[in-house]
Amino acid sequence: MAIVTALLSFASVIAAKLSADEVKAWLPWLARRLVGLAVKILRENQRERYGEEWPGYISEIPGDIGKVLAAIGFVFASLAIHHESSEPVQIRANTGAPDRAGRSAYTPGSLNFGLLPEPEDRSAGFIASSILNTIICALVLYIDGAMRLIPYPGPANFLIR
Amino acid sequence: MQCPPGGLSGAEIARATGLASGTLYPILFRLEKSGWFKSHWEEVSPSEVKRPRRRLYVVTALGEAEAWTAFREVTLDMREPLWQL
Repeated sequence: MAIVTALLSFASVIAAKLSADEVKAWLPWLARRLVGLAVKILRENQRERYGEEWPGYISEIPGDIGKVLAAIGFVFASLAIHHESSEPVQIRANTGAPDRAGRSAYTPGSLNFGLLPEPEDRSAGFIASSILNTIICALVLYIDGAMRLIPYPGPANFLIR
Repeated sequence: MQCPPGGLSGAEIARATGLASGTLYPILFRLEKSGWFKSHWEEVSPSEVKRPRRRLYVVTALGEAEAWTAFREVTLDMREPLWQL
């Protein structure tokens, strides 16, 4: 039994190492693909600029996971830029004051594509928030499923003597 | 609002502001479109520096003036008593 346990441990260590190496090798490729996707989302006249600017940004970030996260951010950024490049921009110094249409004026930093989406009447914000929400829901369901596989130890028997 | 004369790259602005790339670039896009910022390519050869060129962002005179106006308004608002807001 001890030999089987030792062999299983050895095999799992090797499998973990191989998996880590594999993931590490694929992350730069994934980051490049995501930047490529983000650039494709942009309008024709913006692709050349951001196609050169964003790889430069990525190259300044240390670590492969950071590069992938930044590349995911570029996908959301390109959705927003694509949408905003079609509408006239009016930035007012008076932050928070309503514009002529009665909407709140744009405030730098108010665009939020974080985990908790803000209610926005922009399609880019809606799409980005929907994608993020789907990812979060899938992650929660996955963790829930994984937790259910862990056998329930029952009531705290060690307390009952 | 202190900006180096050469400008800052997107990654440097992200580090300074703590904004993620997905939030930062739409903001930069809007600021540049409205004339608050302007940008230009770094004058280096990618083959020499062995990395892609960086796009450098500089605050324009208009952007600086508008930013100071906004800053003053915010600080004035903060001085007002709560019941006057």
